Amino acid sequence: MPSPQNQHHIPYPLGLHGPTGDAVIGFDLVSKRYEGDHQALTDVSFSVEAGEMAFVTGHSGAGKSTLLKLLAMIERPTNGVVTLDGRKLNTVRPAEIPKIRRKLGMVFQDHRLLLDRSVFANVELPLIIAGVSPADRGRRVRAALEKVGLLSYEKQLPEALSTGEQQRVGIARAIVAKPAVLIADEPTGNLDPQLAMEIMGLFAEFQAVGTAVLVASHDLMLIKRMKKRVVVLDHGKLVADVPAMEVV
Amino acid sequence: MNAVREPRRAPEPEKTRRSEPRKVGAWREHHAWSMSISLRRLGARPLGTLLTVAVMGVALALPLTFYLLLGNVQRMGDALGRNQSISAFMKPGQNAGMAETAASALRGRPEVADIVVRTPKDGLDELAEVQGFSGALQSLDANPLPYVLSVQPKPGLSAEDIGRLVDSMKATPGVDMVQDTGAWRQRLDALLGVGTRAVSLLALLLGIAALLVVGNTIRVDIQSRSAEIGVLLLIGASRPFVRRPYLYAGIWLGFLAGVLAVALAVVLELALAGPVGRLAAAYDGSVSFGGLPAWLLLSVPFASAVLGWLGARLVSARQIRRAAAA
Ligand SMILES: Nc1ncnc2c1ncn2[C@@H]1O[C@H](COP(=O)(O)OP(=O)(O)OP(=O)(O)O)[C@@H](O)[C@H]1O
Ligand SMILES: [Mg+2]
Repeated sequence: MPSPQNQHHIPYPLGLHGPTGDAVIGFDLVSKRYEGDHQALTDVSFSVEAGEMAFVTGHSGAGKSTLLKLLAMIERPTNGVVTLDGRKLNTVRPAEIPKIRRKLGMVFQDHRLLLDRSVFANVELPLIIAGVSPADRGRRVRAALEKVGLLSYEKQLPEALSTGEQQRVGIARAIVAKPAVLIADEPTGNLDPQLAMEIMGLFAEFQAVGTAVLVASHDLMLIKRMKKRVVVLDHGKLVADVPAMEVV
Repeated sequence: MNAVREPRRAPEPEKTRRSEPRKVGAWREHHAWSMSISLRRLGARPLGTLLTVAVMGVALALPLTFYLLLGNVQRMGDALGRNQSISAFMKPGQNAGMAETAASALRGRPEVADIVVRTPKDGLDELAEVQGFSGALQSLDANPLPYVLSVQPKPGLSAEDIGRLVDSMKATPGVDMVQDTGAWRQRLDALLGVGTRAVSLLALLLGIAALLVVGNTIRVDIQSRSAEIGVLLLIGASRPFVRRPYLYAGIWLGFLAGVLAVALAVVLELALAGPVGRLAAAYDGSVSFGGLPAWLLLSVPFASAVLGWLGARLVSARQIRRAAAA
């Protein structure tokens, strides 16, 4: 087995984490150059399968958020192909973007809950967008809130909740429509270590039911404790891809 | 390594397999939700909603009121003009036979409904009834009044028809002068024509103003919700989905403003009915006050809802694009 440190030298088709039949997230020689000539990502290739959880880590400015933004189609790659649930994102027409985004659950560092409505109404949004009937919505929202341990908070406004609780509501909203992929950008950035572990534990649960989970984080302590696959970026290059088994 | 990562199937998203009825269901759910959330949002900002509805309602009530007034002036004109006759005064010294000849010549004309020949004696008797004249009249040795042909035109004649009739009366042998006591009616009709045109123009302008009022309210609303719009788009909402509640808000605002406009117009109508009715009665008992027609009152809220929808449409696409870019 090659050491993780030089895995990125292996061309993508031979790469151990190259796309397989079950790859739900795929990056194939992806580069991103922002306006102003800033090279945020260079030739990044890796894939994440259904039921797999991976961390993306690296120093500040390494390109973690950029990687997730490409998946969410907030940014477009300058080169290479990003695949989501079998769909090549560079061929997606603007009108199709909403439909593809619905395959993606997103968790944000600042939770991005809508403050003018209840916890229930926030979690309900993806189901409304999907056109689910009110009766089904109620059932599924409660199931999602139960999963994150906040069923009794459904009528509260987000502002009445603690930071950790708000983040859990954000997670409930991300998973309520059962997306194939769950991505999170620094989801525990504002939380104390105990809460951070709880949140990560939740992500692991969704992994266990078959969701592909990709979490950007620079919290190495936390990543080590989670014992999941780790993709390391350095100045926009993938410099290591450590399988879960080898995380120490 | 691939072996230890057991490949598992992604959970089948419940919404991916979408048959036609399912799509229709989603469409219906979207509309039901947009309708209710837009109403709730308007209710959450009662003052702003009230102000928009008030401004738009008053703007729409104005043309309705003018329409009401114009309609009633028209009715009075119609009623008062009904019995207007045209008088032809025969030259002095003409006798009854000559007057009768002139009358029968005019009777053949298509514009004429009836002609009454009034003798100088009739005229004198009429004058004698007017207080104060009787003494003066008794001192006259001879009757100075001429024969008068009182011509009643057929109802519904145009100004040109009346003009032709007057000309032919003037040209009739033995006629000295013609007095069209109904000429004011033509002038009133012309004025009413101008008034109707002005009210239509005013309605158009105020309709546009109402549309812009709603448009601006919606624009400000979208602006204040740009963070929310960003989140919605990120979690998979389409632009039309994001836009729909604002279009519904426009429809609600328009509808409420239309109802207010009708209410205002009806209140004005009730306030005017008394005085206008008395005024009409003073002229001619057969004139009555006419209210706005029911079809108009019923259609105003719906027309106004369309205006609100248009106003919201006008601003929402652009404003949401801006919010999405922010
Ligand atoms: N919209 C943008 N325009 C220009 N440059 C950008 C833009 N977004 C990010 N960058 C640059 O791209 C690089 C990668 O940014 P990115 O946000 O992906 O890093 P990161 O790994 O998420 O960092 P952090 O840990 O601080 O969140 C950075 O140098 C950043 O300055
Ligand atoms: Mg970042």
